[in-house]
Amino acid sequence: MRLGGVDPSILRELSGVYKPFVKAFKELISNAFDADAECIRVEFADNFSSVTIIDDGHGMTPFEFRDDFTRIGGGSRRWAGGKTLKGRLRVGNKGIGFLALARYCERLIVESAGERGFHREVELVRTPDSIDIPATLGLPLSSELLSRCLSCQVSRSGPRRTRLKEGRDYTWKRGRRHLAIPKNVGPVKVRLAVDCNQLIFKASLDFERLLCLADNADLEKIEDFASIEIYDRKTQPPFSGTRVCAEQLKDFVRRELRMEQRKGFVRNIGSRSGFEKFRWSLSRCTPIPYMTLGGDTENPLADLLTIPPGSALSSLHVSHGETSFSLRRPLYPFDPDSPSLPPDMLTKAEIDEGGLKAAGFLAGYTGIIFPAEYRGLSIRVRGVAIGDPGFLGAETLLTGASKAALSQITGEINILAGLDAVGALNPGRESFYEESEHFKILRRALIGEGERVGGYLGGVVAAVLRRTSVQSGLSDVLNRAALRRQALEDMSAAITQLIARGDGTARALLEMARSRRSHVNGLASASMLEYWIPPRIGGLTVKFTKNLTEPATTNYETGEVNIDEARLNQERTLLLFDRQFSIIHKKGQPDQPIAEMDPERGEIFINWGHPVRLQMDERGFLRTSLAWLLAKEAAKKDPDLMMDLALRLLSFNAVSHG
Amino acid sequence: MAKIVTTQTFLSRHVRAKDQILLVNPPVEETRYNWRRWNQPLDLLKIGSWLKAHIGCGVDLFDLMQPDKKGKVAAKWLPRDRRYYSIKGDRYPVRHFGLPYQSLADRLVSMKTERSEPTQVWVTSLCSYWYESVAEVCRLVRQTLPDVPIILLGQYVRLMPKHASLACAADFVLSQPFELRSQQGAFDLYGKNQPPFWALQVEPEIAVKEIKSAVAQEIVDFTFFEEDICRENGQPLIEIYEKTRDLHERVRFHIICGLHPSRLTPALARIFVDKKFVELHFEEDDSGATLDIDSYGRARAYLQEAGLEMTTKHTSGFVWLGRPGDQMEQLILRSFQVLDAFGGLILKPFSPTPGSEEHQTHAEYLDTVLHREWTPHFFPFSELNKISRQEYHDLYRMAAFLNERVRNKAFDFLNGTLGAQMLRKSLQREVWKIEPNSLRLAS
Repeated sequence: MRLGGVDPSILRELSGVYKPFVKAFKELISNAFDADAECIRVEFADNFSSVTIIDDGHGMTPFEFRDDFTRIGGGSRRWAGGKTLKGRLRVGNKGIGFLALARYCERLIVESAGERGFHREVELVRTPDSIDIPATLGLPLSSELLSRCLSCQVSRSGPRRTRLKEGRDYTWKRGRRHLAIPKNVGPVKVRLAVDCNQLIFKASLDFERLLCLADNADLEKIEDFASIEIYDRKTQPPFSGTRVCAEQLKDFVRRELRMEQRKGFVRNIGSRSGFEKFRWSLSRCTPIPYMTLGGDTENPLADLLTIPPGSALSSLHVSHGETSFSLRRPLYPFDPDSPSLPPDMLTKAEIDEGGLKAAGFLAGYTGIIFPAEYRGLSIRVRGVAIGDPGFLGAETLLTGASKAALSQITGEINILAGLDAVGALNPGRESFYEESEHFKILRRALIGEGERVGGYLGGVVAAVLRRTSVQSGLSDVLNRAALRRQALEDMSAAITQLIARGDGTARALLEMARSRRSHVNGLASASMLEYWIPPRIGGLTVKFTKNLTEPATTNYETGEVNIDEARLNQERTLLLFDRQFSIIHKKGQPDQPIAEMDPERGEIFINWGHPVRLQMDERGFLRTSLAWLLAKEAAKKDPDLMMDLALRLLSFNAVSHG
Repeated sequence: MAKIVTTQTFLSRHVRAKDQILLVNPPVEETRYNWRRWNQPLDLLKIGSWLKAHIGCGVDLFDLMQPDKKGKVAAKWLPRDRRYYSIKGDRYPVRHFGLPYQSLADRLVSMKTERSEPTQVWVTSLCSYWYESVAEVCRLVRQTLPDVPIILLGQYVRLMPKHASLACAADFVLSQPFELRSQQGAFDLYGKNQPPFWALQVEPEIAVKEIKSAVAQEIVDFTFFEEDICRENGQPLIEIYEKTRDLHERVRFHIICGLHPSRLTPALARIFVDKKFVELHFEEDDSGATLDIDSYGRARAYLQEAGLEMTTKHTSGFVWLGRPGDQMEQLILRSFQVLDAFGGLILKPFSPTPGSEEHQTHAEYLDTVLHREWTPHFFPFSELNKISRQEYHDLYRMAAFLNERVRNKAFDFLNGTLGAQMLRKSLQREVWKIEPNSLRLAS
């Protein structure tokens, strides 16, 4: 079989377009899709030495195999028509898909059958002695097959165009392999028709040989790299569709597929086992249905994932040994491990401009997206992802927090019309030609123009940053409050433990806790220190609410942060063994005491205007002021006891915060 | 200061049907707690059951010592300032066993938020020297639910009611327990999160019902919290065994306490041979200064006659360590005798029970020891016996060694050998384990 007119080194270069293995492999899935397959099975040999793809499509006739499958540009000719027999938009376009696996396996075996006919017309300027039919058809058809499948019409060409009669004007020789025209009838036209319904073929593409030829630049021998055998369908087991087997997968491919998951805790797909990586990547770049959420959960995304009918396979199964997997196109919001998606972080994307139609969504999350492979916008043309998900260059424009926000964004854009011209996609369909008008429209809609990132992505980045700002502001407020509470907790637990131990200090502490003698000295009249909590956090208004189940809640729709008042109040009380004291935070003068106690009213005043505050954080200051106050009050005028108590109180940490 | 009342009085005067009672089993802060997986608040479960049945009030349980499904109880170091307890120059590491206090605080806060706070909180207690964690639980409850009465019960408050009333910020201390042997434990309080075993008492009628109920929930491990499980010549225990042995093939009884060699009968020995009894730990029986060798010999003979192979069954005997009047030679001799009898030895550090004969005899000496230091792991009679703590720890090491040698197998670290297996088991028991510190023998 001949693969005409192309320098082998060019073939080798073309084969290099497809990398890595899974991206090359997806071409075989695309071929099956274009053959109107609904179900595809991918079966790996136990040792990953070979992989077979079996589809239930309409198959190929030997002539289609020769003219479309193995011919450079064969696919692009069909692309012009744009649709498959079933009316699907074709996925393949460049006609170089058969070369995809050239670097990954030694041989490709193709078995198929198609129930269509083949016609060939040959015009000869003078009457030949005989015509070699197999040579004219370009395929090695046996006499037997020719006698059953071939029909022929011979006529004079030119103005007279009379049809020649078999037996009188021409005869068959060598079992219909040669057509002989004994009389000179001038120029003739021969119309050959082959009924392929009864044919099945098995072809072998020897990539090892092809690439070897390329090394030697031996153009003459290029036809030797492919062979085809054609059989009578009746003599073969029942078969429909196409079976392609990539034999002798290269060592590096096998090694990759066999690779075990990286040791320890892993989050990214890249760290998983080779076979798992293959399946995941394949599911991301082939036209298969989306994964779905379990249960009855309604997902707002479902409406945004517009896929034209018939643009996805019904099923794609991948098996290895005993294990078999039905692949579904993964989406982060549908992943069982993904957090829930807040409504304000979901953006619907719709583009309808200049002939480009696209629909999908962009989603921002408050945390970093794992597996990392989910990050970015996946753009699909005819259901197939073009390259890996990314941000169309926004990553180079953004800096700092905005750039970091990209790790929290995912999205899926389906191109419904446009961007599918041969001139829009690079070979291998791994990227777009940036000069394409449709691509420019897409890019502008998604990330805006100029040096600032706008468009849909700009909106999602802003939403992510807003949430991050609220979260970090709120977390700072709550953490500081927790630390202040912790200081009180430490004091309370220390007093309890010292009293429980029943040693010398216990009596003094109990007496202090139960004392009703008031001896405050001015701090009570100092101005109050209001909440440490600002009125707005990250642009949201702060409100105090009672009995929240969490320390705080945020409502981005109403623009409010609700903080639980009961928890805040905890930093205004101190339990001394069995008596609650109110902690009153005061903005006293630097020369006023650091703290004062009013046992009669059950109040403790803390002077946040004291110079010691400048030396330590809030927790440290609260602990210090309380420890010295309690030690002084309990020890009365015993300096040794006071020092001992202060030391014990200051060094104590409650277990709950250990 | 908390009021000291009897349980009977408290129940009659202070508990009403409308009450919602939260029962709390506090965590433990201790140097070592190898038997922690068997800590189950049976007193709370029984009183909970009684409260529901006789008063009709709502009862809830928060067990901070609840083991996970594998029987593991959480353990965490104390904060740095209290991570080591120093006693006479020796430093002991201290850990918090059980759920953190914060989990209780969180539960109380959520109850408050959901407006389902209890009207009373009952806190149980076990060993008296663990009172600090009881005090801390009281503080947490008082702080979160300042108006809710706190009631203390359990062994500590029964033995030391006055101490408890001073040391803990509670409202009531229940000094005298309430007879609840005929009450089933309210294990339903654990809800779906059932513990991996149920503790029982040797009361056939009740225990059989409890075992049936447990088996229905796929719980097949049981132990008995009894001073003497062989009471009435072992007839009640035999009855429980016979009525439950066919319930489930995986039912297992763990005899971890209350089994005295002198009380073993041939009939009991015959049931102990059944694989349903997976652990047999014999208490120490002595006749005055020496071990009651006759009882040990008899018990061993009964077991052997019944067909029990000492080397394969989990049999062992306890030897007290740290009792007043300890002598090293005697301890070592007893260890060998117990090993000879049962094939396994577990040294059991001693702590005087408040108010007991040992306490009263050595009251003057014990007055000088802080109650916190009565924990057996600190060997409170060490100074009295003139046996250093280091020497006691040497005995632990000896026990570990003897436990291996008795099977006449040398240490062998190669995989799969019996020696390696035995070593592993010994390590699991941690009978010799002490944190790396100054107690370790100098090389």
